[in-house]
Amino acid sequence: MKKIIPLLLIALFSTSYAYSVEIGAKFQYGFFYHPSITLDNADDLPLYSSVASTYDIEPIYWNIKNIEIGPYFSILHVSNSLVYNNIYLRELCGVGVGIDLGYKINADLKINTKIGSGIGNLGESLNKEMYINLLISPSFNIASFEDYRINFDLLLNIIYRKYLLSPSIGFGFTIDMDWLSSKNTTYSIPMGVIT
Amino acid sequence: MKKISLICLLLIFLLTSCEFFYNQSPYKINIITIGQDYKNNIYSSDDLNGTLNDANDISDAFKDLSTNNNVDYDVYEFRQEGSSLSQDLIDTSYYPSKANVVSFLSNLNNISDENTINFIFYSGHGANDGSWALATTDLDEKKMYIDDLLSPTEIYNIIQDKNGKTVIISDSCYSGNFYQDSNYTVYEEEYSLSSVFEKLFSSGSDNDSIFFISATESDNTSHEPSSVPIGERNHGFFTKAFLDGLGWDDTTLSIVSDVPPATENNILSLDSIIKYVKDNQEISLESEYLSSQYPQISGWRYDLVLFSY
Repeated sequence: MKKIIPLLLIALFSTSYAYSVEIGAKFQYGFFYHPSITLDNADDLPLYSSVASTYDIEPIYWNIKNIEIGPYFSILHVSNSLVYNNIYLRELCGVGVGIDLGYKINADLKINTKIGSGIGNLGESLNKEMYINLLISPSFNIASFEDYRINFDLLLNIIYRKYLLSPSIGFGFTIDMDWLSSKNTTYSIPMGVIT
Repeated sequence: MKKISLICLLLIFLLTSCEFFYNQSPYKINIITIGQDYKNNIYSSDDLNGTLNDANDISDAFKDLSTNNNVDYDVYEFRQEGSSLSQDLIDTSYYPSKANVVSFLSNLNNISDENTINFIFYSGHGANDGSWALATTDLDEKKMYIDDLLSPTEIYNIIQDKNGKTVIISDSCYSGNFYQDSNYTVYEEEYSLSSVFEKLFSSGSDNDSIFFISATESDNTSHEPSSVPIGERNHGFFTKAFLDGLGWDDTTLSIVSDVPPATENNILSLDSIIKYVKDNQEISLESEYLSSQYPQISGWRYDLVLFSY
């Protein structure tokens, strides 16, 4: 119970912001910035939090009916975070590759799943750490206007490092503005609240 | 108008974001420094001019920082200075002979608990395996022997079960031998894809209580300037940059910065200090033709915060 209460408090007061730019249907650059809760299975360090950012580039290579599949490339940054007794989990900056799988259920609902792996630098040391990243994000269209539409997004992002599991679950509203729609370019500005 | 409103809303969210840091200072720091100029042995070629300044100033700098941050501290200074060598001197507790240093480190638990940071700084010669060359105890011939060397392995074995956190900083030749790999992580020059996967999926151990910082690599020497301008004090290149990062003023011999220059995100940590040293030391980090030294820090998953601001 002691572990759950701070977890809930962090979840309630955490805020997540994301920004992405989508150009056409072939290329997407995304940035997700969100607090994560880290569970440590190795030591008696049950819970601490950090801020994770991912920058994704997702060129879509194949589009078969309602399925999109392609590689994605990501840059991950997890800030250092206090554990206890002056010990910080070191900052991790990494690059990764993986597969992006999208399924368009209908005009108003699409689910994307990314799974990949990367390796990152640990603070000022010369050592590196490997991680696995899994991100699942359903997106629901809830309203459309003349030059923008509003989506409702759910986000589950899990970063696994050895003995460290950093899940973050959130929801948010994505506002896609078709300012440059004549050039087949869409700017998408998602923002939301982690729960 | 809608666009401007949306952009303003986004900016407000971004600017009001927060991270979950909270400040925490150690209950107590044991400032343990070892410095010697080697002028009491028969070898004039091994004399060093900056090491005593290094040890004295690191000691004083951490006293000031601890005072400024309301952190309790105790100071233990092992010194050998000048040409004197006598049995009385050797018998004093803080003459930096191997016997005295080993005895002190072995009994660290008497002066520390789980909330203590044992900060151990050494400035002096290092042997090819990174061993500290401690002061001679040869009253007759004033020679130095293999028995005066204290190796990284011996030091690690002595301190591994001690209370609290232990930081070992060595400004000495070949001190990169103190650098240790983690079973969680992969050393930059060694990794292959298979070793990466092996370390990710196999069991391992990490260490959040012992930290090593070395002035140079395992196969490289550590330097001090051969001479300094009149009126200036000599230091090892590494320690000079280290002191600068703490906000040390070599004229007033005190910390003069409210917030040390090496502070990052309101935190003065081992990583932030090493980053500052790499950016500011007066000797090249890597050079094919000139003297160089690349400071190293233990590669484990954790960083140690010394002070918060």
